[in-house]
Amino acid sequence: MRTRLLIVLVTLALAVVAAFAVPLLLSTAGQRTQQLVIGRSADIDRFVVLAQQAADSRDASALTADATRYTELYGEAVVVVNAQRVPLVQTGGLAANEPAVHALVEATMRNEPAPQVERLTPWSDEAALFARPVGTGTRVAGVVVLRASVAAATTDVAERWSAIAAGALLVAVVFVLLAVLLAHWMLRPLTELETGVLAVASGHRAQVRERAGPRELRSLARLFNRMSDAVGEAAEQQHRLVADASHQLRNPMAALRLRVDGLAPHLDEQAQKAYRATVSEVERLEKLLDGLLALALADSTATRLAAGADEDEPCDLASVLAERVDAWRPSADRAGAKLVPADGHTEPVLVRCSEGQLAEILDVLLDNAVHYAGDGATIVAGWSADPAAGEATLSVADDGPGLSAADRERAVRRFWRGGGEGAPRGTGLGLAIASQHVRTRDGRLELHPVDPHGLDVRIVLPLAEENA
Amino acid sequence: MTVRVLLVEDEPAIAEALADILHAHRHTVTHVGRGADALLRHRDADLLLLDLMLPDLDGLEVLRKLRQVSSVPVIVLTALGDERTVVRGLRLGADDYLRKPVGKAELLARMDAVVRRAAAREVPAGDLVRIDDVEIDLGKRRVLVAGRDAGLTTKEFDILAVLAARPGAAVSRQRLMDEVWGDAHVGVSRSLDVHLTGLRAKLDRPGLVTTIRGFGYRLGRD
Repeated sequence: MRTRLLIVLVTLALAVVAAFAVPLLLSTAGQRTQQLVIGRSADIDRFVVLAQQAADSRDASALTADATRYTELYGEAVVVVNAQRVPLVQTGGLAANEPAVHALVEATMRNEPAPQVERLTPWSDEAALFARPVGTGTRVAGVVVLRASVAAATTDVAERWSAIAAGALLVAVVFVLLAVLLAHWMLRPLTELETGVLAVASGHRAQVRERAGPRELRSLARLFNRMSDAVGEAAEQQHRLVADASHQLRNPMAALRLRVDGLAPHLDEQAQKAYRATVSEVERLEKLLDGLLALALADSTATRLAAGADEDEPCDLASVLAERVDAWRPSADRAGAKLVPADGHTEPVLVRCSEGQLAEILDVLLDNAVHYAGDGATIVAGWSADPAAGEATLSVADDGPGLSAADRERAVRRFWRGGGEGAPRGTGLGLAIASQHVRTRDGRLELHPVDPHGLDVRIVLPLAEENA
Repeated sequence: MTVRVLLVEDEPAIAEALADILHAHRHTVTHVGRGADALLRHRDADLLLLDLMLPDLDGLEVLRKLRQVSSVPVIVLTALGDERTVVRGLRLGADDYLRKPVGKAELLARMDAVVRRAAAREVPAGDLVRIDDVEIDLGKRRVLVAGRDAGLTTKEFDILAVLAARPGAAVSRQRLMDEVWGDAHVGVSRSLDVHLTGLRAKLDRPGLVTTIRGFGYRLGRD
């Protein structure tokens, strides 16, 4: 839009400048030509009078003297011929038998009007030939031919044309500048609005300036700001509600947990079953609370990072992976799964993600793999770095039952739980939390099937610049 | 072993539940709800359970003041998502931390470990540290895992030795680097990670060296 607007405005401006400048150029040149013609006409008229006298008195000496002096003074050639085409005077190297002069003489003898002097331009270099018959009416007694140099006149024309061109150029530049400013003034609010809409669409607050651009856009900017505030407010309230609720529930949860734990020694055989069920429900409630709070924290981290407050140091992906795998191996052993650690590494692999966040992501992946892959499964945790693409990939793959294509689509949704009957009852928040963390770091979370069965969860994160 | 516990917790429901559990395990419990009272009454306690959300003083402030006058073991009670607080608590000299909600078994185990460690503080640790089937001989600079030499590099052993000097205690990264690399530890932060990865792989005892995010490491199982 900006280009089109500029093309239209600039074309228009240049057309206006040209419409003024071109006629001005032509009329200036015409004026100077006219001046030349008038000046030389007066000179040639004098020679006509002298030639008439010479013809009458049959003495050309006065004419010759005058013509010679004229040529000496002005450097312009004069040729006078009598009725028999005999040259009476030839000065300045011009001869009557030159074809151009001859043709002109013949035409003038026949009383044809002399050809118009062409309008001069700064590039004209052909001398102008003027001719005038001597004598009156039907009795032509000779012809005077004057060859006038146009150098002085073309210099004048060049000077005037340069002045006009400079003026036109200046005006054109001013017009183009005005066009650019106008386009900028009109379009900048639109650009800002676009950036703002993108920011709001990706879940951040954005404000645009309300006092810039055309009036219609200003009111749009005001409305946009109001909308952005409302959207931001709603999102914030939601985060706060989740965070507050899980915080507020924490204390009663803590008391409940301790009370339930304290009951154990006082229960008889029959109550044990109900007791174990109660404990598992309490534990599940705890996990759910933790999950909700973690999600709220991930959201607020996302907002913080989007606001450009990234003071987190990059972390060594391979070390964090090794450490988390180490921490999860006892759990895997208890669940009957084999957790295979990644190969060692000698150089840190730095990714743009805080250590805490990466550990949280890995905990989700390893937790899922350990609990859903089932007894006897093998879980392989690995990583690879692709410095050319500026990415590192973490992978936690298992050979458990895996997920169907449709389930892989749904898996990162909040509260989606995998597995059919007999599967462990998770909170349904793990992958949602991991995916939120990965997104805030401009990474990707991918779920791939494993041949013949199993699930491979990959996390792609941008490498920190220090690696490159 | 009876432990005299000073419970600093302003939430009555939790305080009562905690006190009941501790009583049931024959510990004696004194409960205070304010940080100022904790500072007045810590002398008669073997262990402090310190909640960080107190009505009068910030729990960390209580800890800071307490550490100026006493080295009584302190376990900090925190909420999830509060890693910064945990780290600050450990830096200020807390011996351990527990996340609410906490189960009975974990609570008692951690209390036991902290109290045992405090008792061991008075007796200098020998040259031989044994955790499960891992035997660390600080004098001979040798580590046996299930009777076989683990083949640690010098740096890996140095790191393990620093951790083994305080089994069960949280050791900060800073301290590890200071003790292993001396003053010249600018830029070794990353290679510490690499050495630790190697150390864990060679010991092959998952969970033996645990990371306390944002703070440091701990040797030994909970």
